[in-house]
Amino acid sequence: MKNLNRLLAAVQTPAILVGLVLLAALVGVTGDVTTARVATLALVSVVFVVGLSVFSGNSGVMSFGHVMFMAAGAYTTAYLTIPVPLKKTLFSDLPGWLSWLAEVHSSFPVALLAGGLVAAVVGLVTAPVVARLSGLQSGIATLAMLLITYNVLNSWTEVTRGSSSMIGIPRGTTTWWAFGVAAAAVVVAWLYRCSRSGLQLRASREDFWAAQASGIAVGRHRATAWVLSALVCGLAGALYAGYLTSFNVNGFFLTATFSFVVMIVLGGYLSLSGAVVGALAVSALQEVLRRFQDGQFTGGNELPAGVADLIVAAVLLVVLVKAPYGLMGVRELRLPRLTRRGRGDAERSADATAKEPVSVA
Amino acid sequence: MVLRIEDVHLQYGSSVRAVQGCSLDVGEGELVSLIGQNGAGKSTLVKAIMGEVPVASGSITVDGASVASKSYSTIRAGVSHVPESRGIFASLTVGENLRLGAVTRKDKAQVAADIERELERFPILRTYWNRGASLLSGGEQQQLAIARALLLNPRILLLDEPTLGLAPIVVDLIFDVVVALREQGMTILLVEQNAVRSLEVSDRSYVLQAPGKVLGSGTAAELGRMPAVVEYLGFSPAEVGVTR
Repeated sequence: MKNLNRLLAAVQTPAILVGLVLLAALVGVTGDVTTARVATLALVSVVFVVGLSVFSGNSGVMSFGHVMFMAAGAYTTAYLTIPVPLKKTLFSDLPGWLSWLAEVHSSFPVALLAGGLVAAVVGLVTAPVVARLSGLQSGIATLAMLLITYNVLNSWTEVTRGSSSMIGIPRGTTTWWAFGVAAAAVVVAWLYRCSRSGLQLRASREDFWAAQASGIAVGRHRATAWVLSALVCGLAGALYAGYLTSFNVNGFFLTATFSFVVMIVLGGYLSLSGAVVGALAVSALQEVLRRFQDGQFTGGNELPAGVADLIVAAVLLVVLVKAPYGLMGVRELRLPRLTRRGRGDAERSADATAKEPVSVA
Repeated sequence: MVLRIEDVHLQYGSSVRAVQGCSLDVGEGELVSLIGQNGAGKSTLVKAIMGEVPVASGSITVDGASVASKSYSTIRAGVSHVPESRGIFASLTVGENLRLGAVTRKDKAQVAADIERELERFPILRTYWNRGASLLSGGEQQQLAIARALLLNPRILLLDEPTLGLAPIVVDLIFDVVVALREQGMTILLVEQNAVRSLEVSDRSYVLQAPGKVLGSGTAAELGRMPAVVEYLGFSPAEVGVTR
């Protein structure tokens, strides 16, 4: 019985979070077409924000560049799943050394995995920069990486179609696929958080210098988390491409970055629960506001375009002022009956710490 | 000698001389204290032992090997430092803090047994295993910091102002812990402003005067016979109730 309790205590947070994403999936599959679309894209957002949280949540360093990994996953999926004849028309000017790209083709599941792996490779290439930088410099460097990615995608027309849309991607992503990947992402993120590397990275988030003094190789663990989070965000990109069936390079730039940053900051970027709750809550809020703006709740009286975005930004400002570390702080969701004295104290302590500036050195 | 400091000069930048010609040694199983007022150079000396401040001249050796040529983690394997700020990870649990203490060790199999050893030594840490470290009292945090340092199985434990800012009853507790560690054979260098308590528990003491000069060293009785030391401390070390 004691062992069972211990096991329950260890798995309760990921179990609750998987339960939450399952709920979103059920809403999607039982609702109308619009609801299904909102729910599926919310699950894709969960995958992305959980991926971002693997890095930012454990290291305490915010990244504004993760959308580049999503782009890597989306473009890979497009290349692997667009039917070969269509691809030959779309990419008639492929440079010779990349001409093989017009011939390759795979099923959606393979393209999904490939999307994650290509993003992980991009993560591997950029990891040395992240390992060496801290604080503000690190945040700006991630933004610079996003700018580089955007400009390459926008300008390398013969390979990426530039500002024209990628079209003809078969619909591979279903609500259940999105749920499956979101659940897997939650489990992977939780396992990493509890791993030796995750623990050491969280220690560096608390006190960079004390962590170094304990012999913790902070840069190495930051790089590990960066690559793992790139992989998860790449999966989100692949799901995104496979759901929308067409996308544009502008989908992977500042608007998307801001939207995901709102999700993770509102939920609480230091906590995995915060990432999941933030992604689901902001997705729902955006949809409600969209309907409000379209006049669905006001008898057809439409509001000026952009009101929904303004309200989301205002909500973010209020949360930043009232709860700088988001709705969850550094807490994780737990079952109330398992919250005994010791564990409850740990949570309260974590909450107390969350109100103080966390070192992002 | 486990730790030997010979004629060490330390300075910040090119002008601020923090330590000038300090010599000190700590033998196997000894409890040696370093006492002196604020600004005497104690903290700079500790930083130099940990390789954080470069040695301008002189030498610092641990088991005969110079610390100047070693990386920080190598130094730490021999000299475990409990910093003045305690350096605990506030939002992590007691258990996680302890696991982090042994994170650089290669003998993973032995770590669990050593954590158990520290929990025997500091039972309060077992009670609060799942509690966030920031919720512990100052004295409990200090015990956690010491336990974490001991998990490296160091040659010498370097305690930097362990009782700073603690209530008198907790100061007693920390000194009891220090004495118990000494009785278990641990080699300790204790850096303290609390001269009376340090003299009471130490085998030998060094009295440091700004800028990092050793005014006198020896047992409390020996220091009591040095007029300069008595004048600097404002009391005679010979009069403290030495417990050793």
